[in-house]
Amino acid sequence: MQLNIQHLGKQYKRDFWGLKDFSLEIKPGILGLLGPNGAGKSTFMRMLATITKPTEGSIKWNEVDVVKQPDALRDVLGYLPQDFGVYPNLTAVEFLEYMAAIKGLDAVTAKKRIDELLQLTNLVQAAKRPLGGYSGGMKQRVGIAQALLNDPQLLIVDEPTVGLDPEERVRFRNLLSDLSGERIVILSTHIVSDVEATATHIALVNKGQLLREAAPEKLLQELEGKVWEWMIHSDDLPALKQKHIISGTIRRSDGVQVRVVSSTQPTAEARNASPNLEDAYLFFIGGKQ
Amino acid sequence: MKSARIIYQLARADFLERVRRYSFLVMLGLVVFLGYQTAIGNMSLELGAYRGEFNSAWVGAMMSLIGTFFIGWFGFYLVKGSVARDRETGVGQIMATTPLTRPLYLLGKWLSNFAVLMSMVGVLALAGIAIQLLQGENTQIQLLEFLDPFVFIVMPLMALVAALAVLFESISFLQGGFGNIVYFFAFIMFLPLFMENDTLQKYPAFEPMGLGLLAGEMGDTVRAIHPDYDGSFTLGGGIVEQATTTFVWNGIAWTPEYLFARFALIFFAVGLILFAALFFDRFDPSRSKPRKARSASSSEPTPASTPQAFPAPHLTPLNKSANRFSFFTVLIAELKLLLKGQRWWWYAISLGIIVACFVSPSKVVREIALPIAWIWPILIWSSIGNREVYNNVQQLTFSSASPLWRQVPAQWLAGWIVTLLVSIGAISRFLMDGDTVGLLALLSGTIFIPSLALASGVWSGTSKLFEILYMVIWYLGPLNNAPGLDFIGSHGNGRPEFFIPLSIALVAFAFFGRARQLQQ
Repeated sequence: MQLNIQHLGKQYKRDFWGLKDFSLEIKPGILGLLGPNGAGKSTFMRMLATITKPTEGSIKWNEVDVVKQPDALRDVLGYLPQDFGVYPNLTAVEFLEYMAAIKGLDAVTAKKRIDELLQLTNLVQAAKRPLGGYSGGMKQRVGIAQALLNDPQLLIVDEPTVGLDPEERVRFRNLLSDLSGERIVILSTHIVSDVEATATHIALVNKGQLLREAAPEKLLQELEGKVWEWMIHSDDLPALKQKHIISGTIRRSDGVQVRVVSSTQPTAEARNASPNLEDAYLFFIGGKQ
Repeated sequence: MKSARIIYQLARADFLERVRRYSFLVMLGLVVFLGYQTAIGNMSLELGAYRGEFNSAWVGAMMSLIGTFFIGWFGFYLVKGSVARDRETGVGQIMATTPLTRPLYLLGKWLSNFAVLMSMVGVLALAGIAIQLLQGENTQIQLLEFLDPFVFIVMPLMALVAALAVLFESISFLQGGFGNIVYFFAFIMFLPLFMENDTLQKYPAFEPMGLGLLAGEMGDTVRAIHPDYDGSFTLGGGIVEQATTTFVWNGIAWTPEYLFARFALIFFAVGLILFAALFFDRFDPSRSKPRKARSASSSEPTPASTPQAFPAPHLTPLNKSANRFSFFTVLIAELKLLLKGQRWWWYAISLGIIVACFVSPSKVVREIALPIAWIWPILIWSSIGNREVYNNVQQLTFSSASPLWRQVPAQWLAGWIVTLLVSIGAISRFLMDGDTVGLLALLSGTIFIPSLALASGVWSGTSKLFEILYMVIWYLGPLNNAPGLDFIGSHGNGRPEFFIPLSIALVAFAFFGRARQLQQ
């Protein structure tokens, strides 16, 4: 099972590329896509999900060109878009039955699967109520359920935890980890802790280009010796912000403890700290904004 | 002063948002087409055997009448939807958190509607100048005489139409397709009522369309020259007799009474907006009817399910044989989507119509019962082809396998089955009476309706286009026997030889449109 992306590009206007020269080879596991707003993550995911046609480049699913033969992927694809709607007059069960039908699941399998998914997404009690009355988080869970209907080999989830309460978020993260063994999961989010908890690989995207792709441990290794912490007077904070990438501040009785990502020691008082993914994100992307 | 600025900024933003849409260009294109039809003589204003010389006053009045009729009728549908857009985009909820009052918000929307309508009128006016020059009967452009009817007749009507669009958007049950149908029939019904109303005949300037005013003024001029004038006054297309004699008409002498009456309509429009503010929910979902909610956030929230324990996520893996596509299952799902959400009385009335078709003689079925049966499910048909876009589900459905060949045929077939179901009484009646001609016309109609709905829905992404197109065809064809449009066979044998190939072309067009959407 392999998804091969070569020189992928999407041009929206004559002088604007949403994505440019994007190459990546994805194997089973969870790939976390990290990048600022407008980086091109959703464009990339929509192209993988066969919704948007690339302007250039290729997407190959097990050696089959998905751009030319989208149906080769659609049968095994689960997709949760960032922004989607539901049919408000249908209940969750009816909506999932509808989605199962167009995904080609037979009725018996669909019924069993829907029951499991409703349990999994904690929607059993609301399953027979019209979707029009669902809250944002509940609607999001219906979206997650429909993405998993056909037991997809490629699962693409764009900002899946938006609107979920902390408990549901943890639940969804666990689910993703559980699912990832024999399939490819591509997860896009702004919530670094979601990626930290689940991703086996991370791709950092900015301005339509792939900046780095590596395992989280590798990214953290690269950051060893580049994260610093020390105390400053709160009046000095604005000046420090001008000079360095600050990844965190904690107010204390004797001033402000700052956490800075920098290749060189910012000041003599600064002591090395253990890096985390947020530091890595800021180091690779923050510095290039 | 502050209020005026708020209204201006609201209207400006809304107007700019609309004019930068592709659909606005389409609207202007249609107005240009209307002007072109007039220029080549397919549309004209005649008073029996007489028509005015093509001077500025006559052309201005003629174009104004075309504007009042067409833009007044269909412009409503083009401008209705600006409040809905704020609701759908969520901008409305943001506005609701500001000190903006309901009347101010609605006045802003009214002004924007008015500006959009007037920009179309402006294009029509430009077309009028071109027509006068092209006709060459009198090439001197008298700007005041030309513009007077636009300012005094069309402008107040557009203010009224803009206000009605806001009013319809403020009243929950008129917001959707039902409101579109109400306006369509109200326009048709009020037109003769205005013309025949005694009070309005006495004070024609108060009649919103200005038809009586122009008919009276022009008629007086013709009568003075040609006493044999029979009083007829027609604005129309190919069915109008060609006028043979011309006369010179120099426009209306606008008296203060006339002007007061016309501008009173604008104040009436403002009054309508203030009235609409009483019904406007100010984007408060708790004030809208939960059952009618079209978007997930617009009705009372369902209480969240209580999280129990914290079960470990588990999903049984599916084996490959589970993936067996069944067209029948998709068809049933599409049928469910079409019919879901209808109240019991909708089904009761449908049943009543079916029974009426069954028990009535063939002729009555053709002329009365079947046309009723075929307008009743209009809001069901109008959701075909655009439901995915309207509900923002397209990313989910379009990324499923073979969206073109699995979903589109099922959608069409579901629409056809609904049409057959409401026609079942008529089909039985025709079969029992051996009316094979009627049956053939009916069957071609059952194919035509879902085909038109599918093509309109796919290409426009809204239900509005089908609702308007279908109502116009239904009204002109089956009800008024306009040549070629009787797809039911109400006044003859129908036209299966035309409507069946047209339906096939429409379905092909819909497939093409959907394929295009899938490849974006």
